[in-house]
Amino acid sequence: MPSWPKERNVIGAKIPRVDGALKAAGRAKYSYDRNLPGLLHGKILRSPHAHAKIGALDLAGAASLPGVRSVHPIKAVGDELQYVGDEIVAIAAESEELARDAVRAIAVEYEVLAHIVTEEQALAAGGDHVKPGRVTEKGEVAKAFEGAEATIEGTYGANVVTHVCLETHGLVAHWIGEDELVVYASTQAVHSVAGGLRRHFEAIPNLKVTCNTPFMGGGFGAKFSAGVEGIAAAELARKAKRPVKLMLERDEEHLCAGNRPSAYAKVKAGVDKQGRLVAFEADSIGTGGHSRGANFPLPYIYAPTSVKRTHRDLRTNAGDARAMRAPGHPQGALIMEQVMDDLADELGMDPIAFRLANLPETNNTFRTLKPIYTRQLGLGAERVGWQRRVPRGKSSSGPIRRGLGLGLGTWGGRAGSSQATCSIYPSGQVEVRCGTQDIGPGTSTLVPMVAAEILGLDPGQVTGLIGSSAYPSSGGSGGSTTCGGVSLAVAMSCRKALDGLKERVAGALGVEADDLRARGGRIVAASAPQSALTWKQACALLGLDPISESASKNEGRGMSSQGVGGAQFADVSVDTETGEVRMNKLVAVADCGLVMNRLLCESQVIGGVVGGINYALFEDRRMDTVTGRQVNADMEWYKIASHSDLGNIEVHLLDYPERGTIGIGEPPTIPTAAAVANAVCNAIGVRVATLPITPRKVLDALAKA
Amino acid sequence: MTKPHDSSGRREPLSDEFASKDTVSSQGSDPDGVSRRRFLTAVGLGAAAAVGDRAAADTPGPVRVGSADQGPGALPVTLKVNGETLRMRLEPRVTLLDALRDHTRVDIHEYVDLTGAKRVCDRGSCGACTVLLDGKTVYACSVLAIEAQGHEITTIEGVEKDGKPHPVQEEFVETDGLQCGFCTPGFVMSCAALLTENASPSDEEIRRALDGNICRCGTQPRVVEAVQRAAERVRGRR
Repeated sequence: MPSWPKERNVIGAKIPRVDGALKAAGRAKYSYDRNLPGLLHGKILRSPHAHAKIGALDLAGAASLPGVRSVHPIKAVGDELQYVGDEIVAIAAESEELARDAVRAIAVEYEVLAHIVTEEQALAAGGDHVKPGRVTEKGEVAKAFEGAEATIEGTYGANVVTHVCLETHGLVAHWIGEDELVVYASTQAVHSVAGGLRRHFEAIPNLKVTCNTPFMGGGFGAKFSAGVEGIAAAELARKAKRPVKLMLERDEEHLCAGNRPSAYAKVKAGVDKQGRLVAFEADSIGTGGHSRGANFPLPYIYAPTSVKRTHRDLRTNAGDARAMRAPGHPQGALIMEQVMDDLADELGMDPIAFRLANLPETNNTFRTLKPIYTRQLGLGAERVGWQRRVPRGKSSSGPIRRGLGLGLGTWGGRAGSSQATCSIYPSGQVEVRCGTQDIGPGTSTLVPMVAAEILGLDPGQVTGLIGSSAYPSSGGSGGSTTCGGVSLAVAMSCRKALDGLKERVAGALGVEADDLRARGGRIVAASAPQSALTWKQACALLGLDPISESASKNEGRGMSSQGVGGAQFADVSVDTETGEVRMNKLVAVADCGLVMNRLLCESQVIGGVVGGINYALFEDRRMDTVTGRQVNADMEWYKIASHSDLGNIEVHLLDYPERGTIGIGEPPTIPTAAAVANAVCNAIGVRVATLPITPRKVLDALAKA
Repeated sequence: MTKPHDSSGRREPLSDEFASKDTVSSQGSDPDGVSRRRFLTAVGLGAAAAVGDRAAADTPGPVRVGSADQGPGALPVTLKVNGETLRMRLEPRVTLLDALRDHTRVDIHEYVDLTGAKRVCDRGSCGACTVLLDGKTVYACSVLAIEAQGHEITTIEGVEKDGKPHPVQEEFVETDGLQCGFCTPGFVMSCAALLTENASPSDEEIRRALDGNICRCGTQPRVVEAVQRAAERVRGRR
């Protein structure tokens, strides 16, 4: 079985990202930045109503406006519109300003229908707005509660939040002739976007589609397909015979481009005399918009001996949910970890000790569950100063109360599907092609790093070519599967290419190919170190024929695994007079097996934590029940933390190189909000039931206590 | 929640005087010899398509030169960006940000293509479009291109000196103060402007100065580190 080199020169080091200078110079060209000769600008007419039927649609006025070049109807008369922002017609014009004018000039008659935009409205309306999920039952909960030593009941939850990708969804579509489509898309899956467009235009014979995404301004799970706007851009470009750029505007991004569903749960939980979780009953609801579900894992991490879980998805006239960084898990962790703290406090037990008493040794995806969490809890407690923690609500008598809290999270992160091709040229240059994309974690840097490790070179000597569907197939950047899949495919393709080079060198040096090692920019015979060629000399033996070898990540079986845990500790101060929560410190202890690039890996963890703080304290999609609109579809009233809101964030990466590569994209955002919520409760002595923990909710909770 | 866009006192709204300064005089300085503006006024905007190959085409409405009313059609606009003079035809509603990113020059028939400043919120909330106007940071999405005439505009593309990156840019890379990179140009502009005013900022001052810039990947802690390291180098050079 293949394995990573025991002595590693590149993997694990702190290496700045290869495209950092371009990004910092403002010269990195994102899809939004792509200007092509003759470029038209696309805009979409969207429903102003949360629920309506199109009574009449007249495009003639808009189509005849000066500067309008093509029109693509998305919906027809009689179609129902399901939310504010639902797409109706797309238009391309000579400038963005003219395209906006044209969209405004479309004459539509709406038959306005009743709408439901909040969970409360959906529950009250019932009918097809409430979709019961399956009931999960294990053991006999009612009986277990009877025998329980202590029981708590509570309601916990979080509102809908949106991805707020800084680069909005969209693409630039460019037809070359009748049958070749090249798009520059803001996506986390170049192959899926190309595939979706290929299917949409399958009637065109010998169609060629390429999706290029050299740089991408944030996806967080919302950018796996071309989307309605991407298809529209391609249709508009085809009709106009001109390239079209169609990037969503900020309000459209909030309304139409995905969100994390809401999650609210009424929970009852009981423990026995030994502090073991014996009964867990939860009834949860959530809305994922007009057609998507909102379920999430609960119970989470722990395995109560008896469980009854019911869940209902609520259908609302709002934009659909999409995967958002660790789909379901932040919600599950938020609810479960608050329950765990409430139980520990009820028992008068230390929350860490209570968790250790209840963590299972292992589960299906996370085999070393308990040993890793035990180490993380110990380290995190030490770093946050857990010994200072005082019991709930006993912080101090002044107006500013300080509290500590913790949360745990878990994720899979197995290697996703990927292929790669390594080419070694007679000149000594090396190119590695992989049809993945860098959405921010540093995949552009990972590719040359892994290749350099295998080939005994510096990362700067390898050219990584990613961000295009023209390169070998690789999965979407999601589920924390990219790092594993890409690094295995790259490593194995480089090993095969190196084997080819060793054959040539062996002949020239008169040694066995098996005896040769690539290290320090040389090919050296292990048994006779004086027999060596420089990399350049070795490659020159190739004559006119480069070596090009491809591999799939499946060939690297054994070099990756799955199942990670993370523990986070929050230290907050709460002003009981204003209700403001301030982050003092957040300690994140993370695990991702073999750390590939310590600098970039730490950045991922910091980023996850920042997302979690946003979830805990600020983000809140607010729907107006009267108009059915989101009232804060912007970046002014949709709050995202600024620098001053974050406090100190401290990251500790545990090393488990024997576990191989495991992804780290999602795990660090899972436990943060739970840790913050528990710290707030520890500080003020009462629960703020739902996220975000705004000053008003803090004051309300204090007033009720 | 602190998000004061003027926390450092650097992001001042354009005063009326500031906004309208030189608007007319800079239009008057057309170097073609023949005043294109007067020519266009005389023949009506239909002819504009032949001059500005894209932006002005088919735009309706008269241009009343010398009047306080301008537009709604495209007007000649001259911007001085990174030391270079750009001649464009823009509708008065076009923002400075969109002029830099999306519009074309009429003199050389090419996109301005200064796409380092990003359009993210498009209403002065996030800082991704930060540029310098006469050395002061402004949100380019909240300044009209016609307002920016007569001012020295510096974009991220003009921050390098003699082909060498600004220390802030280098330290962003070294400390990994960037991830997806979409907010980064705006951050670099704010950080560089901060260091021009204050070469020894405290962490707290850095955070306050950057509260008008939003990052979604969560790079903020490392940006503070990058600015501190850059500040050391800036002080060392003095």
